[in-house]
Amino acid sequence: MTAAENLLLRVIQLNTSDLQQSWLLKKSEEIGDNDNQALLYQAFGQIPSKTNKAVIKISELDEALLDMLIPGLKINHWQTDRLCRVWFLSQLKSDNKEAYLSSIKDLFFYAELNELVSLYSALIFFEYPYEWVSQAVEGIRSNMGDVLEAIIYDNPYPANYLDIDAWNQLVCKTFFTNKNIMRLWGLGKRANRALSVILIDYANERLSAKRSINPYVLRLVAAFMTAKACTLMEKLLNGESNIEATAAVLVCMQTNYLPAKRLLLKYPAVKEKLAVDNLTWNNLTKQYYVLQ
Amino acid sequence: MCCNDEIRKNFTYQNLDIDLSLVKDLKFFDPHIHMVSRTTDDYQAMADAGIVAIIEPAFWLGQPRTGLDSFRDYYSSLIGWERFRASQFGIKHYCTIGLNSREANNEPLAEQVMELLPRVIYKEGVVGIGEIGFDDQTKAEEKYYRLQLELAKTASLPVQVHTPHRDKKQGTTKSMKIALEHGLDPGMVIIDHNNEETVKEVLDLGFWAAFTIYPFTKMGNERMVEIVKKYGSERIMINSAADWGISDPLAVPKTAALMILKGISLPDVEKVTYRNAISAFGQSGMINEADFSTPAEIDQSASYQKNTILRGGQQPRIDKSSIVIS
Ligand SMILES: [Zn+2]
Repeated sequence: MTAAENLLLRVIQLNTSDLQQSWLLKKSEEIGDNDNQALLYQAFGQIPSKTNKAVIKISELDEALLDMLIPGLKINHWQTDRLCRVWFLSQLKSDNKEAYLSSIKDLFFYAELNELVSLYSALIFFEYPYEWVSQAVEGIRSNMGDVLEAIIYDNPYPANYLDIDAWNQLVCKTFFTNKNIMRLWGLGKRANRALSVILIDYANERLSAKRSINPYVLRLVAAFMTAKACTLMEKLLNGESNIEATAAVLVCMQTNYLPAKRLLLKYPAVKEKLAVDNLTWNNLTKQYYVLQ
Repeated sequence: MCCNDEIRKNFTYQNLDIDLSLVKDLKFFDPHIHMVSRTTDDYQAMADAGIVAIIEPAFWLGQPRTGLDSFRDYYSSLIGWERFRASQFGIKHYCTIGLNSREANNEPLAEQVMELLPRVIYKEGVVGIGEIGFDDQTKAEEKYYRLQLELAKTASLPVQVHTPHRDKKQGTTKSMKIALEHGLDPGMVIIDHNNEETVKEVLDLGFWAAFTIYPFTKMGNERMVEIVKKYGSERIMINSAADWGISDPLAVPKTAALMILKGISLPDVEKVTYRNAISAFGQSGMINEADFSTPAEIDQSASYQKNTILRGGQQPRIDKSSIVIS
């Protein structure tokens, strides 16, 4: 068991009764000893009824430890059954690659909604991580909000393993479905020019439709400024939305792109307001979500 | 996204030209409705009318399926997509899983479906085997009805029995006789689509009697009122069985309103439109009333991030009375 899996088990032990724990451990052992798919899917299916569905309690220390072991992974909003399922999946024997891949794919194939959530939450624990990219991409295509959230929220798998197109699709889908972008881990390290080109078009579409623009759309553009992006920023600086104008200022402050810097001189009032309110990307974006 | 309480209040009932104010404080459980054939407008109206939970039985889609994958995908949608769709409107979605009588007549396919069923019936939220039973009352229908009764026994799941439109009386009697032959506890069997002619025998034998309020072909709700007056509310439940036909997803709350209007006591109304369905299908161990008896909650994870994003993506309201669409 890896250190992270050990930690999950400890958190499970703190959130289940003796009876529930021993059932889970027994099933996990049984499946380790047998190559029996029926045993596997039955146990996987039974986990909610044999454990519990309360939201877990986890100490700040354990949270910090988990984040050290698997950067980006947060589990404090999970229910116990989800945690148990993820740990249970992390213990599957993987020495026979073909058998391992096919038995997990089979679980995906027949999964109900909560099982899907657990399976996608477990991606980071699966062996042969690149083998799961197409499954993750399939999940991103899903319109089931809970499935999307399992992939987007506090899950380090996408940033670590998705190729650039799949990653960009995920970021766009997060904006499109109005999920909380602040919980998609790895935005900074995966920022790229292709994404910023898509997002500029997206922001312009939103503007034409008189729909609001998520500040993070602009944040992801800041490192890749172009003349077209500058035109957009100026429109926002002149626009009706305080949040968008402020976001545009933040962009202009962060970039070294000269035409953008010049905008700051042209619209000093907004910049001053920014200093007063001490606005950051995160609290600006929180304001944005509150207004949705 | 909106869905704050003020907006919710303003829109409630405004699009309904019927008066449901008599039942505005009641909660309803519709234990038989085929949402796969209904629109989001229906979900919205159902939520407004107080429907908090539903059971979607696996059924015939109007056109026969010819391959196993169609069944698998259909079952997947009942335990996945439909479950999510309902949750967007704050409605808890359960289902019963089975091979319906019409398609039991395609025996080579039926064999394969029987092998698939154990993969699905033990899933969370599957509250029974259903809807199964007779349509034409053929040999093949009987064979798969019996096999699925055995499956229900093995899985300790309730059974939701569809009774035929034609030759209903005898079909119902036969369905119950066979269930008893297989040693099923009648308290685990819900006999559906009853009428004045079948109800007495069903109740006398100890089965649950479900009634479908469905225009033209099944029960009208004025008749339903008379049945509750005569037989009381023990082991009786009503449903809409709304599907791709001319049917009414608000049949349960409308009938509750009519019952109150006609002097049936509130506890009796509550039993036949909510409580009895939970008692019967709750025997699966898969229904936790707390999941739908309290108002829809804000996502735990959202409150932990101190923002207001709703769980899974609850749906924003649109104002249907306006010609402006924004
Ligand atoms: Zn039906």
